[in-house]
Amino acid sequence: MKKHFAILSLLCWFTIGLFANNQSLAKEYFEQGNTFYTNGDYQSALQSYQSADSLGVISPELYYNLGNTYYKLQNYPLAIYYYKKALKYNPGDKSARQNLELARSKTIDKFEVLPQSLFTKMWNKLLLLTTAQNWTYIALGFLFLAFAGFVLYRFGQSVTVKRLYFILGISLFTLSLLAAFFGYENEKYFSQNKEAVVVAPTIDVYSEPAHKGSKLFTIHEGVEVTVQEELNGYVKIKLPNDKTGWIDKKYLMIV
Amino acid sequence: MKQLTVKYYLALIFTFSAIVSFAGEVTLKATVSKNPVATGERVKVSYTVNSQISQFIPPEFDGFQVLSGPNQSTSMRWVNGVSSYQMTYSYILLAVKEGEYDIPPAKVKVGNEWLESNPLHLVIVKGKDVAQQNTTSSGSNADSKVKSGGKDIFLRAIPSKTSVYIGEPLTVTFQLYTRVNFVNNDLIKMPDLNGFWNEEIDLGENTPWREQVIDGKRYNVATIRKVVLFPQSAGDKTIDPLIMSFVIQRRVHRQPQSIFDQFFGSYEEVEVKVASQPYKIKVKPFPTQPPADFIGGVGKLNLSMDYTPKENLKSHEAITVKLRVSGTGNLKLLDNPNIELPGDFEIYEPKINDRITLANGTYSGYREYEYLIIPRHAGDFVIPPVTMSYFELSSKKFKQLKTDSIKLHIEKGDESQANIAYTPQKEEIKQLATDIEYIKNNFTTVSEKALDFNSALYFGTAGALSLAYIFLLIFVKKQEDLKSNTALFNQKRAAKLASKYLKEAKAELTKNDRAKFLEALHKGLVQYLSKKFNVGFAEMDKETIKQTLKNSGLDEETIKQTIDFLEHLEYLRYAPVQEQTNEDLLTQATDIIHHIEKNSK
Repeated sequence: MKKHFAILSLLCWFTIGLFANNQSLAKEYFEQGNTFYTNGDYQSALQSYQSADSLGVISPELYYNLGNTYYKLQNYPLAIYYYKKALKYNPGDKSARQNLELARSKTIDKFEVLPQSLFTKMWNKLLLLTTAQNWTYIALGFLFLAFAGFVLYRFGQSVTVKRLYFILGISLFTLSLLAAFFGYENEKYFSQNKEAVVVAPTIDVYSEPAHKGSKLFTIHEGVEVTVQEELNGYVKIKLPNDKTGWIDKKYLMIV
Repeated sequence: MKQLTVKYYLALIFTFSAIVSFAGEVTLKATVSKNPVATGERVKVSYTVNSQISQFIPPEFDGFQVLSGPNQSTSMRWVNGVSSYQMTYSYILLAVKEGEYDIPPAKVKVGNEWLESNPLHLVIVKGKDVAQQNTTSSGSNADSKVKSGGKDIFLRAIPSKTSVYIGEPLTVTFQLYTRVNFVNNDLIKMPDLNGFWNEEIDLGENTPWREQVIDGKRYNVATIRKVVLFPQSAGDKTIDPLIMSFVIQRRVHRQPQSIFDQFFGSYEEVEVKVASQPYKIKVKPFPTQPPADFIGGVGKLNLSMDYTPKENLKSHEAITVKLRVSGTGNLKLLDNPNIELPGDFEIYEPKINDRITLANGTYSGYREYEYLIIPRHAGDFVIPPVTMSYFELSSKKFKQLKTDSIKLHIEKGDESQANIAYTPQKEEIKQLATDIEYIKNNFTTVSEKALDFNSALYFGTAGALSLAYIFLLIFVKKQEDLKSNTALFNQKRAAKLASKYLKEAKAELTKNDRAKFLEALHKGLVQYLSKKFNVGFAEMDKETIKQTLKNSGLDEETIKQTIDFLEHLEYLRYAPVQEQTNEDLLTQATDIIHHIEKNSK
């Protein structure tokens, strides 16, 4: 019994140690990759970054640099994939957004993106300002401020001051709720819109989750789609122009 | 005699053709003033057409020398409500060599068709003793009238040059020749001087007449217009005719009808239209391609540059740069020269100041380009030399003029001036190429939780804070209640104590014994203090009381009030002054007790 416990505890320590170790190791690979990239050796940089990625850490900067490396190697679909991944974990990254636009301009298929209403556009922009986690913190910050406002209200000396603190408290509390709502919506956005990038050069999109259905259209590598359903190794995708169809899952890389 | 017969035949032919012309058809008729002519004599050959024509090709005049011509004249006449138009090209020929000459037909273009005149057969005889029979003039009376319009009064355009370079000036003088009186004149058409920049020379109000003998005939000559022309483009340009109409007085050849007629002759007034002959000017292109800094100058030019102010130049303060092109030539036709400025200078469209006079058939003087430039930064700058090429007429070559460069030392000026009206339009940064942004060097990791909204944390905190707030409210409320309770309790206790310790004094108050009352009051108060601060009554001298009160943490005022009151009581015991009633003193003592009770812990 004692022996078992010892093994368990050892394993536990090992895991923690491994995780901590992974972090620093990934950083080492990352920096190594940066050196290769700076020297223009994109192939070696790619290997280093991939080694870092294989350690199972999530780093927006690593994804961004991977995107850049693939871009330089003219593998635009994967560049898009990694830029999107970087943006997923750091939505406010302007460089990633710009580079993503550039990578998109290199792809074959151009879609008439359905025009979104101004409200939707603004809403999504707000939602994707930062991650859901950060929204939680922002909401909490407002909550504490609102609390402070209410406390001050209780101890206010004159009616005017009391009223002021009350309004402040209510406003801050509303902001907090709003931030919380954004956070919630943000999480929903990513869980509902499973974004993916087509990595096969040319694929046909079918009307059914098999090759037997009628061929709807052909798309090329670099197309960004959202995954709506999954069935028997097939996924139902939605294209930027809102058209849907089924393709083999292996042609996709889900962000 | 045979010669005479030929002449008659000719006359007959002319007369016939004149009749034909009246039939309304377009005819071109050649007439000669004299035939035969003797060598050394002049003869006038006229070609008359009764329609507007677009081109006239004269024949070769063999055996004659052309003294003048073609002299063009036009006349428009109304006879019995029928208008007739005639245009005459006439030549004054000098018979040079005797013999018989066939002058081929002249050609005119009417519309799209060519029309030929009758050929002329002229005989030149030797000497002057040839029979001077004026056959043609007697041929037709109507004919002679028309012709005389072109002969007695005519206009001439006289260009100073017929072949020029672009921008090279030429002067065209329009002169009126007349040997008849005219009572009225009218300008019908000024020549269109297409392809030329023209400037008229002011001839003044009165045109002086002078005399000139042409073909042995005396004419009065006046210059009516003088125009300086600067050709604008290469090619053959035409100076169109100047057309005027005159009402002239003419002696009528008819039988005198009265005595006055016999003396003075009879006159009639005829309106004639006179046009100068069109002239072709050949405008030659430049022999070589103009250089890039050629701004159109032709002549003899100079270039200079100056600027003001010279001293104390400051940023955001305007500098005037004057670029002056002087000399002779087409100064008024210059484009703006190109002035290059170092960066961060603003430049505005130049103001052009001309001091140009027209003299000797060309412009002279200078044209000044006044540029306003504003330096936007302090520093040392150099305005590079301004170059300008012009076509020098004397050498027929392009010459380049170059100014000196200007060195400017600009001091830092008032920055608030930077926003004056002359703010330049900011240009957007032009994207030269698109490339991705560089890689990142900071390595951070996030957990998968970054994508989750931590609702548990949020709502947990919200709940906790709400609870905390409720507890806070309750606590604060309790505290306040307690506080108000204590205050009430303290007051009650103070009243109790006061009545307890000051009971004796109160009792004495009724007995009206002041000394005893004062003693009782003093004693009561000290007793209270001794009990309150737990000090033996016997030990309660003044110093001890002071010390005790100080140690108890009471405020200064209360202490002072208490001590003063005790001292006052003692003083009152030995002083017979009755300034305060006993009741007042009692109230004061009660107040002190209340005070101490309230403020002590």
